[in-house]
Amino acid sequence: MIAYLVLRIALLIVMILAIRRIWGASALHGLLSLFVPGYIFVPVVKYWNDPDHDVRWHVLFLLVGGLVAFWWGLRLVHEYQADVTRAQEFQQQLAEQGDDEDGAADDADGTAAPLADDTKDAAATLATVRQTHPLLVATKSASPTAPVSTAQLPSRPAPQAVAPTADTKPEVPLTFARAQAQATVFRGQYERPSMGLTLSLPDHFRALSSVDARRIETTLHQPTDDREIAWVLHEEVPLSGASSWHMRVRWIDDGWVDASVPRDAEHLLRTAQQAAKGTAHLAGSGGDLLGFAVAPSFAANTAAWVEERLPDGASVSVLDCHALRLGRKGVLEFSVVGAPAGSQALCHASVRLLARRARIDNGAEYPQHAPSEAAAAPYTLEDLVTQRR
Amino acid sequence: MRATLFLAAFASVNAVADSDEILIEQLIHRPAPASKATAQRPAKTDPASALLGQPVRVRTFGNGLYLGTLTAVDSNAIHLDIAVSGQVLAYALPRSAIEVLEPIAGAAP
Repeated sequence: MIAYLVLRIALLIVMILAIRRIWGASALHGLLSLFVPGYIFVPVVKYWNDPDHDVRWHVLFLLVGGLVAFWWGLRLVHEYQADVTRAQEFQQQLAEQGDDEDGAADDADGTAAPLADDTKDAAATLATVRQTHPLLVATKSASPTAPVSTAQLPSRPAPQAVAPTADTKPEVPLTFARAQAQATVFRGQYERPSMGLTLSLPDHFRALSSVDARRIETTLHQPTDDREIAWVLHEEVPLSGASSWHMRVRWIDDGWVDASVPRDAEHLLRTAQQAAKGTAHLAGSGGDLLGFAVAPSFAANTAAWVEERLPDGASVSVLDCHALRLGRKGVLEFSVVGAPAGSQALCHASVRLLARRARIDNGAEYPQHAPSEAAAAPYTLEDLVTQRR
Repeated sequence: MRATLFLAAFASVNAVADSDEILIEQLIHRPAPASKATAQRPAKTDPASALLGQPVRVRTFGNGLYLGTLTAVDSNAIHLDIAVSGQVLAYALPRSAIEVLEPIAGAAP
């Protein structure tokens, strides 16, 4: 969109320059060229060999640029219409999920049925990712002689209804699908003005506020996370289903973080594998770190990597994808937790894209040295990457 | 001319900035490839076998990194023992994912 506006501005500037040259030779030609469509070809021919007033290159640029701008404008209109249609379909899908779940809950005395129909597309999508990115998929096992198929990936807990108490008037239980259907979906931008944070959402990505995210987490019996400020999800990957994934956005406001750390991936991996459990500041699957499915990379106040972990009690590994965007008074975290093995390219690109597009306002961008007015966090970027403390 | 160069530069910067977005859409929408039968190659000397029992560094396509002791190799995977927080986990990596398999110099087996 910005590039399109720049092109239109460039065309305007070239047009003004052309009129100025014609005006230098004849004010009448200049005026007519400005207001009469097509008249500009008269001075083009008339001053073809006049080096001071020749505008043939200007006109050529205007013609080519005009055609490009016309085509570009049409494309933008079509994209906008497609976006509106997709957003409506997305909202409708959410609403239908809520209706289906409500019906199932009524039939089963308050126990919600799994959203089987809605999970098909997500499962197919992630199955496609697994097949096209077979890295580390099929051979993770507790024993070298007994590989475990990815078909045995652990399912997330099925959404369950909150049972009403017997002595009170029965209330409509908050189910996973109901909470999902009632959530407000943001597209384009998601802002947290009180924190000075703005998430610029790519096309096809949507955001849910922390309030809605917590309501959904409650229905899944997951602990609430006070540092969570939003969920971001792709419009074609529903929240429900064993193969679903979403991005958790968290603001870790412990202060300025020292980023002058060793950035050797092998050192970071060794340190991370010896870190004590339960000390992580980042969202994650817990358990043990097997390796980096994508080694940490650092650029422009951001860090991004993908961990392959074996959660406690699990027999197959999962991926935790992280991207950090450093700020003056804290760290903005983007994490996909528990993604299926083999999907590292997708989740790594997703968290990295969001981290790069995030904006920290009000002069809160990251300074290389500790600012005098802001407290420093009691850990470094290395500690966050290795989850050492 | 300057305006044209500026536009070209702007467009190229924009293209780089959105490469992740393009990649995401490709990964989401890529159709599943047809399954292919894997042909069994005739057995021959496997260079990875020479590293059995040694600490190794494994780099995968896509910039992955795994460290461990090589315990077994076969035609489809290599098997590592990974020391994590005082315990050892057995782990298998598909050979198709491996870009570099090398011994860790100076490390005790």
